[in-house]
Amino acid sequence: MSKPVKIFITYSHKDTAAKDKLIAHLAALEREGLISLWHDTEIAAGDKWRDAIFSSLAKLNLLLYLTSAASLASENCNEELAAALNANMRVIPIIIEECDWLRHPLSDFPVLPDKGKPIRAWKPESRGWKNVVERIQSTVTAMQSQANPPSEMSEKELHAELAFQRGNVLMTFGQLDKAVEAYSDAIHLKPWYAEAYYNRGMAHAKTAISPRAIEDWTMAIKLKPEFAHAFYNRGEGWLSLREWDKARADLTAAKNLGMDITAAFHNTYRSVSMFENRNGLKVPEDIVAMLRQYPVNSLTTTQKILTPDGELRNTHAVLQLLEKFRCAGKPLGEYVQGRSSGIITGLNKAFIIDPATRDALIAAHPSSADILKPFLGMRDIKRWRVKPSNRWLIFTHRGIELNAYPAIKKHLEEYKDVLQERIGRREWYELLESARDPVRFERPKCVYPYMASETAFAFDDEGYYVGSPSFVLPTQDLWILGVLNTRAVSWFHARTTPQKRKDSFLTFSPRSVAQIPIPDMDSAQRSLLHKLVEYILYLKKLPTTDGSELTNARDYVMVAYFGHILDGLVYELYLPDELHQGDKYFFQPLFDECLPQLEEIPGDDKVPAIREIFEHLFDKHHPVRKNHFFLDTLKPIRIIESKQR
Amino acid sequence: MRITGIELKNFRAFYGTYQIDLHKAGKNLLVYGENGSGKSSLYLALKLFLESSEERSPFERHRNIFNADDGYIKLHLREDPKANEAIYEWSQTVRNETDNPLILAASKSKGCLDYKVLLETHFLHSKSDNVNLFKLLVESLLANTINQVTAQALGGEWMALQSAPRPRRNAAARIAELDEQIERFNRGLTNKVEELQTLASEILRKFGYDVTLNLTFEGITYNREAKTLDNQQLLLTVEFLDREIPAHHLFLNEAKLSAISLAIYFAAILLQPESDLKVLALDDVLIGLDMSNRLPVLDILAAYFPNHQIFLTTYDKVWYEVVKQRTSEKDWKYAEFYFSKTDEYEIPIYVADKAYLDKAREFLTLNDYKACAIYLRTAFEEAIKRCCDKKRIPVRYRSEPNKLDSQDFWDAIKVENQKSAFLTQSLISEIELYRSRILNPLSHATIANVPRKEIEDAIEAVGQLGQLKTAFG
Repeated sequence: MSKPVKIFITYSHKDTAAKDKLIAHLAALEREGLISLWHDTEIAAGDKWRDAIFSSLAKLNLLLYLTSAASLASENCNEELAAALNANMRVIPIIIEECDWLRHPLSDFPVLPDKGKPIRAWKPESRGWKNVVERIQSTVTAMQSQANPPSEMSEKELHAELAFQRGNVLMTFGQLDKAVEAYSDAIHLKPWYAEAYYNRGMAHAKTAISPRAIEDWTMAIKLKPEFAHAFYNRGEGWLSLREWDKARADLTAAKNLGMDITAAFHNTYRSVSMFENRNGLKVPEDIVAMLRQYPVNSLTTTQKILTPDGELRNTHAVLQLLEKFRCAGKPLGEYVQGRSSGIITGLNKAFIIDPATRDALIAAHPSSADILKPFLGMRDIKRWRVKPSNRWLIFTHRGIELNAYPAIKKHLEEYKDVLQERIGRREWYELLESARDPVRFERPKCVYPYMASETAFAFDDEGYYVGSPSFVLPTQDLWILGVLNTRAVSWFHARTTPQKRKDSFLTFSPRSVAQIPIPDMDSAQRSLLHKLVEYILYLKKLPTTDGSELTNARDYVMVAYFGHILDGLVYELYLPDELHQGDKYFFQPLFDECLPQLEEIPGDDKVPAIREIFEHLFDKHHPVRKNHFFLDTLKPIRIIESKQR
Repeated sequence: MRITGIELKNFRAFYGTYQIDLHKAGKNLLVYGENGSGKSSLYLALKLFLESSEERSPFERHRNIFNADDGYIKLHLREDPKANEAIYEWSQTVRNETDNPLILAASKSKGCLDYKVLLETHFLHSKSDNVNLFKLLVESLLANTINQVTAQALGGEWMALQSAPRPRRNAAARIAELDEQIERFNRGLTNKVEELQTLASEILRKFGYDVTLNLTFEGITYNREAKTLDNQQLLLTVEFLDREIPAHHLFLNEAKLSAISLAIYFAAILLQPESDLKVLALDDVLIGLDMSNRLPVLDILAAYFPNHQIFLTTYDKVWYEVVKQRTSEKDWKYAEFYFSKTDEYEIPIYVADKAYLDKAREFLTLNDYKACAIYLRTAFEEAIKRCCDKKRIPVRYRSEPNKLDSQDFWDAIKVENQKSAFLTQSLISEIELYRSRILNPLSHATIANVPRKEIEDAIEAVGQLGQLKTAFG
């Protein structure tokens, strides 16, 4: 008899009743020994609840996600989902009630009940549950039979599907290189997988259309001749490569297959001329006519604009501002090349250790020190500075010679059983995903979390290794950091990146961050931004500005004020006409001050000198203070800061 | 930038149109008014006008409900006395004129305080020795003050914190988020009170209290178990000649707390950048103070707010006269409001507005007989009082001059007329007739039944009375 499939149920506490129903319906399967349910009641009192869940996930096989408005909005549920995917669990969403799951990464998985008809919509509901249990039973049986391989083909197909889903999730997290890898795995396992080719093409095309993207779409079309989206995207690709005839043919084909190509085009581009400007070309009139959607004047009324992955409702005034931001400079992706995603361990419990364990490992064998690296989790990254929680990463990258590190080997062996259950072509002791080039972590760099309530780029010059879902922005240019950590950029990002979360958090990915326009500046302007960021980073190191004591509130205000000055400067860069019409200037009065660079301030303790600078600039008559204080009386700033009636 | 005139129509107590001229220089304004006479409506007109583009409450909510006609508030502004006048309107139909940087900035740095806020000081020490100013400061005195950490108003932040969703005990990221929000609020408020107390103490000393204020705030905290915001405490202690006053709750009586509140409020305004248009409006806020503490307020206003345009209202006639004496007509405009009552509604009468008869005619054309009769009566009373004054006609003595009514004046005029006959007999009998039917507060309930012609004739008669050369020299 095969081992029972171990099942974890993710649910929002609001759906406890539904969870109990599901467990009741699964009772028969459990009795038959087909499945075993993991209960959160199994956690011993006093255990850290979340940690217990995450370490358990690695041992489980199937995650049932009770999908409701509450669970979609729940941070815990989504974290559990992400952890399950990292642990290569199979995922089945069960739709409880009408909710917006189609726009959630969950929609990539086969949903239950059939056709996604919510449990609540079945009359009586127990019929819905019955449908769910039947399907789970067949899935479970299939999983067991694949665990004891019956036919090689179906196992490969299953793995192909898993790899494909994995790629989709990595795409939503913006980890394009890894997504490409995952799709390639899927294609390798199932060479006729048209959707995998199509999505790999999308991944290739995210930064710029490349011949590889075109090849993938061509392959997808060959495998599935009615694949309208593949025709459309290849057509758009030909457009940017100025292959007008091919573009015309593909777009026509997509249209004939019933696709609304104008809508699809305007999902990505506001207008044909925007497409032309971006790619520096001129589209022939007849193709423009195929794609044109709005009469020229209709922009004066409020529009709904669709973005690639979701819906954003932006008013005309907002669209105009966004366009001004874009026209003020070049995307960040053109300033900062290359990027790194955070490391995925596949089992944090094994790879992420506390200082005591680290000391013990080094004491056991000195070689351990070579691959123990300071580690940052997503919550350790704050605006400007990281606040590390003192954890260490066992950096067993691909191809490492484990025998050189006997103490580490011994430590990891404790987890060997669980580690081996991770899917992927890895040795059991290797990290699941890590950058090929760890130097990126070692060098001074900017880092940012996947999720934050405002832009939270931090400068790290202490060589921290970053865990997923956080990212590295390989730059040491502090002026870029100064642009990014402003209200203007937070707003731009929130307005141009579809937000998958229903709470106040914004999500960031290398793809979305690369689109942030960095305004054009001369060297004096950059240098001013640089100086202010230096002050902030220096002050942020002090316990008085970073601790939780309320003493020295003035220093805290000082740091905030330097941030406000950057807000003002960056607004002036994006919207010079608007600010100057309202008589708001920041650069000129600050140039007049001739602020010293940090290194020009003598002495070891530079705080008194910076305090003096602050008090001078903070005087209520100083133009910088006044202009910032009254900045939100200007209409565009009121729109951005949501103060408009 | 000064306010050179205020026009009101059907706004709250104001029935019909009113115009307050503040001269080209944009003088300060001192308003006397009985309770219900519209002085608070005038204060609110200024405050709501300035806030109209931030607040979501529409003009409609403040319209005078007894008048079917639309209303408005219009401010006349001048950069300087020689500059052109610009008029900004806020009404049901004109909503966006106040949405401009000038008005928004004026609102952000304005001072608008009403007596209700100071009444809250009466409830401060109900339970213990400590005087906890947290709510008074955050919800009233410092509500419009900007938190320098977040650049948002403290009052709004406090409201947002109170209504923020309470995270589950184990939702670590959300708790961290809420804690950060609380920390920004705590830091901002701490810095603000630290910044304030020196200047507030200095201002308080002008009231004659030689003391130093200490405001202690330890920060609110989030209670994960009870899901409440705890430690809502901002304690006030007072040092006297460098030593703390032991039983300071005895020292801190209501009058002193009123003075302290004013000092804190003034300090908060003074510490922030100033806008072009600087408005300081105080609605009856001095009522909690003794007369001896009120006079210093005039010095404080002169010393600390020399460039602000000040609007003071009071229902205390004696205080009104004192301020009038101590200020100069060059900088101040003085206005009095009385109210006239009908059985349904009250109409504030603005004394500086002499054209009562025109108002009466205006309401007659609108078929609003009641409002017409009120202005007609006011015109009549004004005319006979002026007549007695000019001709030095002795009027019956009453111990309280306020109790003198039109009967007293009219009787005196009739006696005098028998000696010198400056009024014709026909005018006197006409007035006698209309006095009982129209020019009498008690007649207003039945005025709707009076023929229109008769009201027109009454206006004519009162007009004659007012214009008589013989009567008024």
